[in-house]
Formats: sequence, C-alpha cells, structure tokens
Amino acid sequence: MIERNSPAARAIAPAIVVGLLAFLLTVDLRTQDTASKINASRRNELAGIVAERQKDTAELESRLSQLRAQLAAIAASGGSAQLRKLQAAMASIEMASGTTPLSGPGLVVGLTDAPSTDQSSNQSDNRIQDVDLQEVVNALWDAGAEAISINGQRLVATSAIRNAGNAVLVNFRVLTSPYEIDAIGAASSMQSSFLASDIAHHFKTWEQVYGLGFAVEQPSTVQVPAYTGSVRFRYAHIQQAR
Amino acid sequence: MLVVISLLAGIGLGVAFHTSVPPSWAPYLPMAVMAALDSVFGGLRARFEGTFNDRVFVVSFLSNAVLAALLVWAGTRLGVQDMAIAVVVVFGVRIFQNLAAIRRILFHA
Repeated sequence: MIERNSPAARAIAPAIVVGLLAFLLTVDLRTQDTASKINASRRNELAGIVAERQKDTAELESRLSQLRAQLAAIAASGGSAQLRKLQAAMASIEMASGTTPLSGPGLVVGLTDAPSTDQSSNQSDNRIQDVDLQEVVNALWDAGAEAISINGQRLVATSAIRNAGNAVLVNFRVLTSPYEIDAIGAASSMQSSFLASDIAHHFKTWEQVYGLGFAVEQPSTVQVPAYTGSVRFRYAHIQQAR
Repeated sequence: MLVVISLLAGIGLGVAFHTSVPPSWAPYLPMAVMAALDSVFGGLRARFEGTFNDRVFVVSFLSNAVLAALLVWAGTRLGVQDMAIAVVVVFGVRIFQNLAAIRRILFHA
C-alpha cells in the first residue's frame, strides 16, 4: 500500500489523471468520427430511397394516364344515346376537375427569383414564395381562368401551393424558379383584369425593388396538362339521389 | 516520465478498446474533455510557476470534467440547449490563458 503523501503517490496520481484525459480524448475522437461517418452513409441511403420512390411515382403516373386513355377509348366506342349524354356531361366535369389536358387562348405569367448576388440581404425577399404563387393563381381565377397549371402541374381542387425549404411544392411536386403559370380563359379580358389586380401591382413594384422577374404574355394557344396524381377524396362523398 | 507513459497508455487504451460512447452520452463527453484539457494545462502552468499541487490537480481535473458534463446535461433538461456553448467559451478562454502563461514562462515572451 502506498502512503497517501508519499512521493510515489504524488507522482502516480497526476499521471493517472493525464492517462484518463488521453483515454477520454481518444474515445471522444472515435465517437465523433463514427458519428459523422454514420450520418454520411445514411444521407446517401436516404437520397437513394428518395430517387427510387420518385422513379416509382413517375412510372405509376404514366401507367395511370395510359389506363385513363384506355378507359376513355372504351367509353367512346360504347353505344346508347344515354351513355353519350352522360359522357358529354362527364367531359365538362373533367374539364373543371383537371383530369384532361386542355389547350386554348389564355395567359402565361412568368415569375422568377431575383438573381442572388447579394448574400447578406434577406433571402425570402429575393425569392418567389408560396404566397406569391397563391395570390397570382387566385388573381387569375378571379380574372376568369378556366384551367391553371404551374410548371406543368395542373391545379385541381385538392392542389396545395406551399413552401418546402428553398423550393415550392405544388401537388407535392418540387418546383423551382422560373415559375411559368399557364392559364386558359378569355385572354384579353383576363389580361386586363389580372393586370389590375393587387398582386400584379405588387409584382411591378417588387420587380423594381428586389429584382424579381414578372412577365405576362398572351400567346395564341396555351397548353395546360392533365392532373397526373390520383383523385381520391377522403371526406367528400357522393350524396345518394333522393 | 511517468506522465508521458500514462499519456501514451491512455491513448493506447482508447484506440484498443473499440468502445464508442452511447449516443445519448455523445454531447456530454466533449464537455468533459474540454474541462479535463483545461485542468491539464492549468496543472502544467502551475508546475512551471512552482505552485503545482497534485491534490488540487487531481481534484480539479475530476470535478471540472464531471461538473461540465453535468452542467450541459442540466442545461438540456432545463431547456437551455446552448449550455454547451457556455462551457466551450469558459474553458476555451481558460485554456488560452493557461497556454499564454506557459508561453510567457518558457519563452519569456
């Protein structure tokens, strides 16, 4: 047994402490090292899963549109007058519900983020936000648009436009600047009524102040694609005829 | 001499044992290491200044390390998530002060 105040104890105790420090230090370094490695490999794994699911979704959507086309062909080949009447009624409903592609006269509104030269300024001021798109879309509906799509995503009753990080989600699809909003409707009256809206005035100001891109065009035909997602209402249901 | 051997033994043990700390402990170990580093530099400084006391050294090493880890743990419990920064700043400053004192003694500069 070593005496508490013996020279040996006086030499050994600090040595043990320093050894403990070295032990803790190496364990900590190893822990941080493995932690960062685990995170990196997980990130790759997750990115792989996301890419895979996106591919699956695209495949399923193309299959869905194939089946819809097949269904339409079968329905068109069918006979009776009553069926035709029902089909005509269905066609007008489809137009409103967004499950068929449309083309016709209309407006194309282009919105772009400001060129990000100044990193210090507020990022959200220089980027098109979900609310900007929402207001433009609402102004277009108000101006008499019959069908609207944003970057090829048809807006239907269940569509949401919301921010997700640096991008905007429409129909759960990630969209980034430049945004092209296609709206079908009576072009000239729509244009004058849209340009008179609050949001159009705001965008003209923001164009000057923040450098956001804002352009309204009136091409001869505007193409609006069909909604490719599934149409399933969770709460709405068909009322039985009384 | 004994200190150097112990240092190497500690590193050797750390490498040899394939232990990594459980994830729930991960935020607290670095704090303990910071505190321990401060104590060791403080001890080194005291030795150069001739005021080294082994008992003070051992006790301050253990108490600082445990206290730093406990403080951060208590911080997360109280909702003060940035307690780790407080510990890092305090011990960081102290480590630099100790190093400056050691440098003045060794190099007279």
